Amino acid sequence: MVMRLKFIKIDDLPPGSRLGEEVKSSKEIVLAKKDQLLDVRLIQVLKSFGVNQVRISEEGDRKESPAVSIDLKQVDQIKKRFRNLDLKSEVIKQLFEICVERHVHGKTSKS
Amino acid sequence: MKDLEGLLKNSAKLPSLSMVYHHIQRVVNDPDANMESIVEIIGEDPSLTVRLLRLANSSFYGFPQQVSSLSESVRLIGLKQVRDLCFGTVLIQVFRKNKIDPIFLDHFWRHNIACGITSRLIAQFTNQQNIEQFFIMGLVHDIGKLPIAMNLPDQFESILKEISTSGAPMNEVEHRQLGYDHTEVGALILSEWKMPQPLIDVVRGHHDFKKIKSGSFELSAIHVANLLVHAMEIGSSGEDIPPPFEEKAWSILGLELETLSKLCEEVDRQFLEIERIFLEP
Repeated sequence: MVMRLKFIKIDDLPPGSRLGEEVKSSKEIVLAKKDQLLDVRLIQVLKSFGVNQVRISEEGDRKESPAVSIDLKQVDQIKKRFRNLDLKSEVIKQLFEICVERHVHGKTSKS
Repeated sequence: MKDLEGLLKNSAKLPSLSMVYHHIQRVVNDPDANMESIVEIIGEDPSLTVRLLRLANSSFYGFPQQVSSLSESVRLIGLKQVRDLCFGTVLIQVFRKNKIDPIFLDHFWRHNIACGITSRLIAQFTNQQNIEQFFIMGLVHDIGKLPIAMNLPDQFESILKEISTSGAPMNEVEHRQLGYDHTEVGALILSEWKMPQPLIDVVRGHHDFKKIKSGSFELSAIHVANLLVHAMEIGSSGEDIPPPFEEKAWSILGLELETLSKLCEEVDRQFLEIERIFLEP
């Protein structure tokens, strides 16, 4: 996977952005590590050190998933689990897709 | 049918509420409390100290350098935030000492820790100030289920059975079988412990669509977090399927729809580490 980074103004960061590389002060003090979540507190710290823009990972950096197929029975089971929810709702539809993807990648952790 | 106040007050089987209360009161309500006094109080409890240090060095914070002392943790994390984390840590340990099926309890805390992480992430994504407060709200949102499980084990078993066969939401089944539900029990316990009103309101209202619609950000964050964690099947708080969802909660948070998958990825990223810190004996 080739890591693509882009510079972005610190005031224009989309929610949930993670640093694409370490940020240091002019005196070489590490202010934030690569992959650190850019939340309001960290942004304030960076601003106070005069950091106005940072490199973040681009959306496209996410690892391409190998093509996998899902057992339709699994989809039915997830649908059953969603029976108290309205699958016409955009939020629920999106969440349903996320859950299907999690099942495909074996990410459920009931135990 | 049992009465709600009786469930808490007339039972000798209640958790060591006084112990929780004692710890929290000492840390929080001392008007002269400063960093040193809080460090001293926490330092008396080796388990709490270790957990706080591990949290300070976890993905929760991602501080660039290793945090090696308690005073440094308190300085970096902040007094209020440390107070909230102490409450969460003490709460989990205290309920461990009571007679609840350990398997249920383990699933219960996994669900509630994941809800805490998710609410905290929602607060981070929306630039809220005290994000630890959101962690605690998620962590305690179902706390009312524990006194029911402890003091009315047969009824609790029957509630779980009905949920698994009918798929009905747990609070509805509790109402049918007991005449009250875990949100009311939880609010009552937190009132007894003299916890802050916003925390009590969130516990009481996290299934209440009318209250959610009224626009509370905190309530919406917990409602969404609860939905996500149920859908992601992390732990279990007694019910295996996601509860009904009030759509308005999402719009109150003001997050883009695309943020949802990022939120779930972050929960996956943090959960195992944070779960270990809180649940390891």
